[in-house]
Amino acid sequence: MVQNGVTGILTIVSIAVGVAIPNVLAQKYLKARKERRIQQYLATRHINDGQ
Amino acid sequence: MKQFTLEEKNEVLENPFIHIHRKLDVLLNIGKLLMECGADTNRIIEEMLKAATFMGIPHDYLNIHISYTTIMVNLLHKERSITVFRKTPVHVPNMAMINAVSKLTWRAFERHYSLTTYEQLISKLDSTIPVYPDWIKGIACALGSAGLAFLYSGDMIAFIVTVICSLIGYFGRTLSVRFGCNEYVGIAIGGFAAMVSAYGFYSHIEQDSLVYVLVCCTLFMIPGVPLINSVIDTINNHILSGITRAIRTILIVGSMTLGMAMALYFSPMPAFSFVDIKPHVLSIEQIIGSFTAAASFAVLFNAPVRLLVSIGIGGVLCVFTRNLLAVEFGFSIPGATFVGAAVMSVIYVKVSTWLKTSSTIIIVPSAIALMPGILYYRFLFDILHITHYQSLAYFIWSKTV
Repeated sequence: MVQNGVTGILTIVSIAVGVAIPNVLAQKYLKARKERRIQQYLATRHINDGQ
Repeated sequence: MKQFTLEEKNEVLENPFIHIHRKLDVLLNIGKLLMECGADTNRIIEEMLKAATFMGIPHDYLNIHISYTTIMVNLLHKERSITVFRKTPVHVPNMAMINAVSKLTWRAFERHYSLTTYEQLISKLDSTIPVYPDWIKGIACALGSAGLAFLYSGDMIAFIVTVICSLIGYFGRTLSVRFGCNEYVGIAIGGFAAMVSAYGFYSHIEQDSLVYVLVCCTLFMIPGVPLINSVIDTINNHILSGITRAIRTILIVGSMTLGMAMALYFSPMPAFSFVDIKPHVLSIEQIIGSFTAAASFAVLFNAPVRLLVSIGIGGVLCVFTRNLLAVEFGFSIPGATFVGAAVMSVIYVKVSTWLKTSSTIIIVPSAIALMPGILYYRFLFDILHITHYQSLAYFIWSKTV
């Protein structure tokens, strides 16, 4: 009886951690990549000023 | 109407305090859309901060508090402090919406939208994102549950009967909610209707594989997205939101189990409690079953049509990896499941850039095929029958002493 519950909970934790693996391992890289992209777009904000 | 120059538009987007209430309103709208559509808390905060960057609000000024039913934003700078919040009462997974919010903010950066344009487009998202009609969702639920029956070694007859029973359960639930029943009562009625019909087939047709119908006909009601999000939130220290999501999933599974237990009242020890769902061989049926389950449940989460095949392939990838490790290398189910989900998610982060979509949209529905829904309701079912187990144990003990 308890085995069903324990295996169920362990499996759902495994799925969630597995799904989150790219974020867990490469969080710094993914954030930096996103920040770089934002900065690139912000840098072009004034490109059409004065037109 | 006054026409703003480009410089004036940029000034609005670079000075945080110009139109600050409108900007905070946009942030709340984004948070509300994402929370109601099943995004995890980290993602909601990331999207809100991205939008804040677009609108010129420094992250240091912002304090964002997110719980399952309330989004709260505080802007604090020197002597100024503004706090706004919004309730998020309705929760229906909608992957297309999560994708659309993320894409819209990137587009706003790329095309230099004004605050007004961005604000209007965000507020229109609710009505512009297409949602699958109920009858398609019903068919998807039925196919998803039947796909899981196939995955657990059911045959074609079990597949067809599961489709019929799940459809009955889905329409039982939908009708009861339309008639104004409580959501959890609706789920119990759905579970009851599906299980009564499944038990009818099981007891009148001589076919061993029909036991998989009993096991799988209610699986479409297992709340996969909130379950995954509850763990993701908890391990990211958003404990309040994570625990609330977990309690909601327990309520849903509990209502469903209650409905099923009522349907099986005259069969106190139903066969499904002992059906072995652990994979012992690798087969083509597992590939077909996992593809059908992942792609069909993705419809339930409103994933865009163009992504359904990719999601189905993601389901095959993670289920096949899990089964390979469990069958060939003797891994335990949780261990094999972890590797399966991790392999799929690492590959699909790259695939998402090719498909020009957000990675969550394809990763979360793909992982649904791994969901151990059966174990949850078996566990709750066993709790309901705990007195039976005690008397059984006493009987065995009295015979042996």
